[in-house]
Amino acid sequence: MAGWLESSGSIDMAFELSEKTDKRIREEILPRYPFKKSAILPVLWAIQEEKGHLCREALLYAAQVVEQPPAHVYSVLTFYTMFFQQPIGRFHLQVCKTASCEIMGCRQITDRLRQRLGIDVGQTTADGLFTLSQVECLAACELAPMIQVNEDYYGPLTPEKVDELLEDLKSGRQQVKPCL
Amino acid sequence: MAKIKVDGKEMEAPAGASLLQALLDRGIFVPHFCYHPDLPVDGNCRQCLVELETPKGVAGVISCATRVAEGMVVRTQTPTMEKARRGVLEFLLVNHPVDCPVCDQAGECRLQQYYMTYGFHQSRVTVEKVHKNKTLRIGPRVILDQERCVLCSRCVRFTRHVTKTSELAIGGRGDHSFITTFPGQPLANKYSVCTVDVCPVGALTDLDFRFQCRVWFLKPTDTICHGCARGCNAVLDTYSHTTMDGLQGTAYRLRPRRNPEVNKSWMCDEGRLLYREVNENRLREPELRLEGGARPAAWEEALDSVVEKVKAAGPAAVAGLCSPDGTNEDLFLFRKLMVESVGTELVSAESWRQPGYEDDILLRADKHPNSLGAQFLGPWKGLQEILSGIESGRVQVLIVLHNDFLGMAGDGPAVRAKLNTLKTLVVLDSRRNPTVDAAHVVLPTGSFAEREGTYVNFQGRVQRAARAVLPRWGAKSETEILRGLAEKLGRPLEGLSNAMRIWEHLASSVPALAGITYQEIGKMGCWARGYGPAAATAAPAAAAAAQTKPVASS
Repeated sequence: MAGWLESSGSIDMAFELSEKTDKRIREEILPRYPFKKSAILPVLWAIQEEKGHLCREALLYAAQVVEQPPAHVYSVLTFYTMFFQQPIGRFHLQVCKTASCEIMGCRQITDRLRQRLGIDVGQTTADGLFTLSQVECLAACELAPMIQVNEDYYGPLTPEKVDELLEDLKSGRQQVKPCL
Repeated sequence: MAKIKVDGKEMEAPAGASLLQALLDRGIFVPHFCYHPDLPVDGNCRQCLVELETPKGVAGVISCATRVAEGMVVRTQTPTMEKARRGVLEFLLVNHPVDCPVCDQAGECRLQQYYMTYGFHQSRVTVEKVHKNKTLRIGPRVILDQERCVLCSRCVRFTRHVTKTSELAIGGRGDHSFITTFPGQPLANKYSVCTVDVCPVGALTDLDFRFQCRVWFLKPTDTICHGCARGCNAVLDTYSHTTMDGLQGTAYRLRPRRNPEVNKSWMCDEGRLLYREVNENRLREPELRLEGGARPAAWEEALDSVVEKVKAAGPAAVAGLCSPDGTNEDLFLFRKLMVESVGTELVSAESWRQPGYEDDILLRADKHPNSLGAQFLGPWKGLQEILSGIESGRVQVLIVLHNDFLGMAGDGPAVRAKLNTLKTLVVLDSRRNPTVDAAHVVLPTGSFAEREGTYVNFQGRVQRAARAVLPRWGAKSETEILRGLAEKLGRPLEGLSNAMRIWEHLASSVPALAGITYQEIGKMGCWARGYGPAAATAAPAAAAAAQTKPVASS
């Protein structure tokens, strides 16, 4: 029998939210909604903005703030793909895999990234720098095949340009906003 | 009431009620998963589709979320509806493993039943099924298989609306949705196994019952849970198959039976385990522990020795002790034996069992199933009176029926010391306990499963428990033992040969039970005279009386 209760799937660590975020949640986000329950998404988003991911304690905090059972918050969290339960890399590489990018060869881009980083889709490099994901249309077909790094778009890409981009990101020549 | 037409037949149904419930109540079966009479309507499974005539034409609607209205014309059996329901079922089966041969729900699974009815033996889906987690222990009593789940959300609604603990939720989305707890927060409320009852498929199973027995080898018997004063209506499942005689009479589980007046469809986790009393720790034959050591004895010899001791001591030196654990019938018969056959007035029904946990769902602090019934049959003497009688040497023989007063005494050794002067302690019980251990004569009775009789719950609901199995091993029913003693004492209890005859006496001699017949009690019980909602509005005093302290707490 699997140890369901023990293998919670998220990392238990001391959770401490900055006073700034806590204040923003309580004074800006919550008053915007007629019911506290309605604020679940922006509250989770605000925590992830600060922490980079949502650990178990973060969810408990959110549940307390929106006055909902923790299971309900967990239900919301798992519905969406852009909430992370595990810490992700400094650079989140999101390869578009929808029609235009597919036609223009996004598979080659994904393969090159896999090969260069030595990780599969959904994984993070050991140095904590890169996380590789595949996502649906990012509404930038003119850049196909393209990827989103944190909040910025890069394209059209070729396998060679991928190598260049990775080097630039590593060396800091290419500045990107921190991961949400 | 509204007049509606179903499949061409005119009928009446309560206006505003769920159409599905109205159909089910009138014997018209419509397949369904998510609808449950004691949970809010969710309408997510779409299985209960029926055809409804509307001003805009014929429409397929889910009957659970459709309310009965005057003039409604409903068809449940049309080819269009069969096809629609078939389609819904096929979708539900897309990712279901259809692993019935190894699933413990087999035999009482709605999905399996409909699957067989609609004949989806060959799936049209060729892509690989979505895989999810299996055998997750989500709480101390419940196992979850996410692949077998049809996401009806009954369990989620149960924890949200009944226990209000909200441990369960649906996570993920689309065909990757799954039932889950919050990580690290187990499904551990006191009613958690109810989620297994409401689960229409094999997704949630009871850790205690799973893989113990195939349900088609079990015989259901309507009974009453004796765990507390609520008296939840329950079903006891006992082994009943001709090929394996060694298991005959073994009890496997106790599960709730719906009664809107008492326990709705629910039962506590603790109460469910009481089925074990039928199997474990049982006394199998009479035992004599007189001069010259302990030894098993034949019934005849055991009863003779009790009668001999009673006669030797004389009526004034005999006392009787029963308890609010007994049925009305047993208490009545015991008292009659003591007063009329033995000739003593010193009979008590006081129990020292401590009050326990109570909440506003089902559980009651009073852990006796028949406190109110015992009160109706009173007045009784106090247990202390018997003990001081023993201490003073006046009482020499004590006959005890289902009362482990030594085990429950706050100061066991002190009470035990008082018993040193007692010449004969006769104990009638089904299981070994400290009082049985101290007895000179042990007479094994049946457990609750082997008993037939009535209990009165804390609300004043008179309820009948049927006998599931005959007294096991060498045990005998209480009625048989008490009547045997009376006969040997030379004053037989005439006309009280079984529970029904005893009930007739009760109904004619106890004011609160006056004139109540078995027919009136039926399967769901009935209110004692002066109790129940009607009586509460008519005479608040009677309701107040229902709240008075039970005999048990002294």
